[in-house]
Amino acid sequence: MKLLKHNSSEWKYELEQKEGMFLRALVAEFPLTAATAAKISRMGTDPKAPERERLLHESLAQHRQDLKRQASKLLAARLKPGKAGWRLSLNGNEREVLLQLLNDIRVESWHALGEPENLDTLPPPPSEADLRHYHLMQLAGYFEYKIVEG
Amino acid sequence: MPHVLEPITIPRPTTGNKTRSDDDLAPTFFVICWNDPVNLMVYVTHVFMKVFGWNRQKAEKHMLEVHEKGKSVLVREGAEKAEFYVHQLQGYKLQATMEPAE
Repeated sequence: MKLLKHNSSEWKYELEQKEGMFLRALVAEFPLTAATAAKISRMGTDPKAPERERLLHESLAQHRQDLKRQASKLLAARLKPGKAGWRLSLNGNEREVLLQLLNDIRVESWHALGEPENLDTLPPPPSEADLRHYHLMQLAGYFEYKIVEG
Repeated sequence: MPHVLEPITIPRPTTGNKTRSDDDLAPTFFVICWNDPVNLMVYVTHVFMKVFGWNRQKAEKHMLEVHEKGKSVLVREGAEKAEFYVHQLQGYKLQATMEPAE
């Protein structure tokens, strides 16, 4: 995947055949988990933290629903066959949606793996679920990097 | 006939020549981003630029602070704005919290 060109409102990428297939498969995995863990505070000195945290959970649940709704249309509309693979054209909002969705998959996969410090190794022997989460985490990171850095 | 006292007006505290408003007295919060091994450095920089409108240099400075020191205080804001930023950052799956500044 490489960035072909961009301006302030549009980014055009070229993907190889396999990359297009992997990206579609990856986006279809979202959301990996029904709910997401989120804390509003770590220090516990805000008496209103429980109420704020409840609002945060509601906000994030709504946000993930919005991402899911947008994601299902996004690739169908914006990932098109190219000369040797695929062409992906994204406006600014679509780029952010795709990045957030991919990173949600990456972080939730990392949680499922037990939040390892070292992302390059798996606990021996890895289960099938470990292998799946490991590959999802690495693939999501690959596409995030390419989308941001071109 | 009871003696009626003149009402007393207590002056509000001032800062220099400026009268302090309720906003000045409201509690403020630090929005903090915490380190984790899973969020990519380029991604974190990108998110800071998008959420706060920072230039790359400032965003990278805070990203490196998160990476090297374990956390970075991103902004100090009133409760509502701090909550907004935490919601935004967590929407991107960064580990961000708001902590009372005093």
